Amino acid sequence: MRLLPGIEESTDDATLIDMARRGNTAAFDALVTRHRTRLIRLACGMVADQEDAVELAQEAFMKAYGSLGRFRGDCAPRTWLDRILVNLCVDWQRRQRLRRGLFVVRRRDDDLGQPPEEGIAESSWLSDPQRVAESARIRSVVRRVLASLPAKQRLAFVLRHWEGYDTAQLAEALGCAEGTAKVHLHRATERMRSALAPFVASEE
Amino acid sequence: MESSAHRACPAKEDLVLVAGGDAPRDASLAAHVAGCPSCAAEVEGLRRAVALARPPEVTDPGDAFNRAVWRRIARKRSRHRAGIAVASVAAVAAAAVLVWLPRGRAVSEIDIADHLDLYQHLDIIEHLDALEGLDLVFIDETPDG
Repeated sequence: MRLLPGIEESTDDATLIDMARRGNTAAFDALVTRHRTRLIRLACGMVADQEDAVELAQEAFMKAYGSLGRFRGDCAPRTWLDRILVNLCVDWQRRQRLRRGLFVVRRRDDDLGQPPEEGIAESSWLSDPQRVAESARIRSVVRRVLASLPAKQRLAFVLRHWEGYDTAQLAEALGCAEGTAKVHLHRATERMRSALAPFVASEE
Repeated sequence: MESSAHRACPAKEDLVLVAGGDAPRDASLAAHVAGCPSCAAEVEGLRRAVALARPPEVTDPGDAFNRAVWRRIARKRSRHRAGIAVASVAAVAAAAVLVWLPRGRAVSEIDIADHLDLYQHLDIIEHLDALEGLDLVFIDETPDG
C-alpha cells in the first residue's frame, strides 16, 4: 500500500476515521485504498456486473466521507463501510426493478443445477483449457444463483462465505434475529450447493 | 437402528456455519458432526459448494479509484453549495413577494400563484421545495408591522 504523509501502514481504521473527521483527507484516502478491493468484491456479490460494483463502491466511500461525523464506533469501521455499501446495493436493485416496470425479472433457473455439457462433465481435468472453461462455467453459475436469490439470502451468503461475518454480525447486517439470519444463510447455501452439484461431482 | 449421535442431529442451519469454516461454539456440535456420518456428509457437501462459490478475483483498481471517489465528493459538495444558494435566493424572493402583497390579510397559495411570474423570472420555480411551508402566511397587522 502506498504510504501517505502522516499515515502508517499499521494505522488502524478507527484512527484513520478519526483523523479524516478532523479534516485529514490523506487519512480518508488511505481508508479508501485499504478497503476498495474488498468493497468492490462485496458489491460484485450483490449486483453481479463489475462496472456497477465499482460505481457502487465509489458511491459508498463518498457517502462514508459525508457520514464521518456520525460514525460512533459502535461497530467496526469495516462493518460500517459494508453497511453503507449494502444499503446502496439494495437501493440500486430496487431502482433497477422499478426501471424494469415494477416487477422483478427473475432469471430463469432452468439451467441451474443441470449437469454440464457432456464431455466437460466426464472430463477429469486433463488439461488447463478444460480447467479454465470449467472454472468459467462455475463462476457463471455462481453469478446466476446469487442473482436469483432473494436479497437477504444473497447478502447472507456473500457476507458470511466471502467476508467471514459471524452469525451476530450477519444478523446485524440483515437486520434480523440470529436464528433468522441462519435460515437465510442455509437457504442460500443449499441453493448454491444444488446448482453446483454437478461440478462438485466432477471434482470427485 | 439410529445411533445416539444421529438422533441428536442439529438443525441444518447450524451445520452451514460449521461448513463455513467456523469451529462450532458448541463443542457437542463438533463432536456430533465428527461422529455422525450423515451430518459429516452434509457439512462436507456444503463445504465443497462454498469452496467452489468463492468470491470473484477483483484486481485492485489503483489510485484511479480514489481519484474517482474524490471527484464524486467534490461534485456532491458543489451541488450542496448550489442548493444552499438557491434556497437562499428563494427565501429572499418569497420575503420580497410577501412585502409587496396587500397588507392586513392572509396570503393564500392563490396569491403566491399570482406571482409565479416573479418566481419564474428569478429562476427558482424548479426549487419550490423551499416554499412548501408557505401554505398560508399572515402579514403583521399592527400599526408598526
